Amino acid sequence: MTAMPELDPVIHAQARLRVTAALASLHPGDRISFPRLQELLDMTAGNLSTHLRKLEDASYVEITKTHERRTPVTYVQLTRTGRRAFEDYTAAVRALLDASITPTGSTP
Amino acid sequence: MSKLHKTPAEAATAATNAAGTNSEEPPSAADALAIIEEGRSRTAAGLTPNLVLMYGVWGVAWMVGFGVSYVLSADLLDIPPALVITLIAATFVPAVVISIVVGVRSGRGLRGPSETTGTMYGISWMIALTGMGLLLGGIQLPDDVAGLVYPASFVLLVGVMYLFGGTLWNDRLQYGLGIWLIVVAAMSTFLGNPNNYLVLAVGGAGGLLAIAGYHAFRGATP
Repeated sequence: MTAMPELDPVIHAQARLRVTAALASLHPGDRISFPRLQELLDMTAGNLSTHLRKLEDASYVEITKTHERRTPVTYVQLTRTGRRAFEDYTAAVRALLDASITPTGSTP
Repeated sequence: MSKLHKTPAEAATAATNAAGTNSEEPPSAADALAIIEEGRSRTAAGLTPNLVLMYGVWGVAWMVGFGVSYVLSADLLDIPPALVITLIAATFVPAVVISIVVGVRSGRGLRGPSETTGTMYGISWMIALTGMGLLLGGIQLPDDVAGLVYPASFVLLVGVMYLFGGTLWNDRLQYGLGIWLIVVAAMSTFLGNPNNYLVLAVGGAGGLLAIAGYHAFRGATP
């Protein structure tokens, strides 16, 4: 086996990968409300907050709690670290796929 | 490593499955790429206003407005004034309401530079159109001249707004529509009444409907 790029375990889980990919497609500096993100991803609130907490623990996501017209609203955005981690993850996955396609790169 | 090879259909299924609940499972590399792509396109589609609707309602409103103006100024048909007002109100009022609602809804839940840009752009439309209305309202133009200047001025202004929108969102198609509308507006005044209305209906409304059709054809992906 050739040196396999290490896949970031924080991102490398189906649900967290979806969340990270969605957040990464926002423009840097933009924040999205929790309910809107939940709607875009079609995830349950409990499931989404569990995964967001893990991403927040790794400092990949920044969660801001604020009030709008006296209603509490939670906003989510990818941190600079999170964005870089996602880019590295994507590059690593691509490298893995390329290695598996090139005959010399994939020894069973 | 054979697990990495997936047909696009299998990868798509994997992405759909990942939409399910507690997916702590690490995906395969091919699945991971499919999931990334799905997350990206869902977000983009969710945050982009419905362009088919946006261009479509205005295309219909312009077609009716310029079409009726042509028919009236060419004396082709005698349309009662009440019907003219009804037709125009029935297309323009929904167009205004729909574009505001669709525009505002697409940015719901979003805060930051993109939201500020979108809001400023939306308000710019109102400021520019109101300013043009007041400017033209202040000039007492003879009817035949007014019939050439008023519609062309608004179409030109809309063209400028599309140049501006195309620039902000790096949307070449929208920018191209802006250029096209400016050409159509300028061309219309050379033709005189009533043919200016025909050019504005076919070129102007037709241009908007063509863009709506293009976005409908391309589907939900922006």
